[in-house]
Amino acid sequence: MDLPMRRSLWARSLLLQSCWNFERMQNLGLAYALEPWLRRLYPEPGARLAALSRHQDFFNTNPYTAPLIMGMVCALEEEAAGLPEDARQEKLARISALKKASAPPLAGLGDALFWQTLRPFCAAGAITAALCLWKLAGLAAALVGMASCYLLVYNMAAWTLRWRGLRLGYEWRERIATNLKGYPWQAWIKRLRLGGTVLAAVPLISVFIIGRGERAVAFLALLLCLIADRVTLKAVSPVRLYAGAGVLGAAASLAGWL
Amino acid sequence: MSPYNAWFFAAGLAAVAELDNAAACQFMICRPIVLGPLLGAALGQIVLGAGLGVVCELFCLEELPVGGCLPLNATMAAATAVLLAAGPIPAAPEAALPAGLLAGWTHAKLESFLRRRRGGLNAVVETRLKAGQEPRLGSLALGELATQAAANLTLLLVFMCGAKLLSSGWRASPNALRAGLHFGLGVSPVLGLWSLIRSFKVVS
Repeated sequence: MDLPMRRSLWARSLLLQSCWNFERMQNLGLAYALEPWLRRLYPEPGARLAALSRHQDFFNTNPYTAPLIMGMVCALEEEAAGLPEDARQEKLARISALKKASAPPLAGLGDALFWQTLRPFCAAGAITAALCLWKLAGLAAALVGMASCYLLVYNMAAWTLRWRGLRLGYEWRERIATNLKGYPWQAWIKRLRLGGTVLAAVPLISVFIIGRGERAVAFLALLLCLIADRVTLKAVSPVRLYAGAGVLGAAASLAGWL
Repeated sequence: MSPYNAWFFAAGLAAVAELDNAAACQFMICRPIVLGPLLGAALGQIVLGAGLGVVCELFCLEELPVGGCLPLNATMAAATAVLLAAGPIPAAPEAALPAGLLAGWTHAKLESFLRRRRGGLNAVVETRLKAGQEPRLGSLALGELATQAAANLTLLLVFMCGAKLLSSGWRASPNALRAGLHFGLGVSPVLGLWSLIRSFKVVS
């Protein structure tokens, strides 16, 4: 896979979810992303349209890990295109099965790494960076630093996986699952979560240290969170906690306490 | 740029940035922590924008946009809150935040409708392929992005039309309601930070 083709596939993979639908989820986006490669493999329109038809079935994975599957499909389609007609059907069935089999575990990995870990980690890091920059360089620098820090850290990981994923998927082919096992994903996730907890604790503690006037309110809020989690025995959504705080505030005002 | 022009420019920016949430790219420009200060700067109130953005970011971190799950849309929540609080008819941030959350919830329903409607595209593409025609997947993708951006902008404009009502309604509202929302906004950073710490404990 040469660089212009890789660039084209990567750019199209950014629109993987543009036609997301409940019936087959990312199928149209995947077919759109694979189109340049299929055009190269099957120059005659009939064969190319047949290849596009094969990628119309259900497909759903994490958008950041999807290039791994795309790379694998590209490599296997290339192999299939070089086979005689009678052997090709078996290979095509295998491509479809491998695509379906690799999508859910890669979705699980991508969701755990990006949505559940890196996104809150970046938020915690950005808020802590803003607090530090505020003291050192002023408010404007703090706000610019907050947004830049978030975008930089998140996109470094996301772009790397998306760009390298295409090449790795192409090289690894059917060995994607085996080769991915070699990476310590769970250890990375655990470390990021630990780091994120420390980073998130900094602004929470600073509310009690810096905001002298709001200490009582912050303490009440923390108490509300602990009670809600304890009573319901599950993590109560912050939006619900916010609504509860609003009701409590209104009741306190009616009672003359606020 | 006049305040109203800046207001509509910011709304357009937010409508396009929302596409980054799921439909295209996912570079995280759509996240409230990034978009809030950006919209605030466009409206001349960067600190207010950043404050509301951070609160919306922390409120929406636990909900994961996986599979067919459509949680409250953080981008639209933050954008609406900032547009209402920092626009030319400024509403109190205490009132703008719940209005923003309502916009985020409404957008989740709107997106659900758009995704259901897109199911019809499968039949269109299959019919074209069976007839030996080009499926024109690129045009379909761009069309869907344009539709989604238009739907985002419409939703934002609807909420912006209610800015005057929200502003005057806030002044006329009972003291208890105002005190409740003021208290809610005051404790929201702590609630959000608590939720952020808790989100790291989720076992994958």
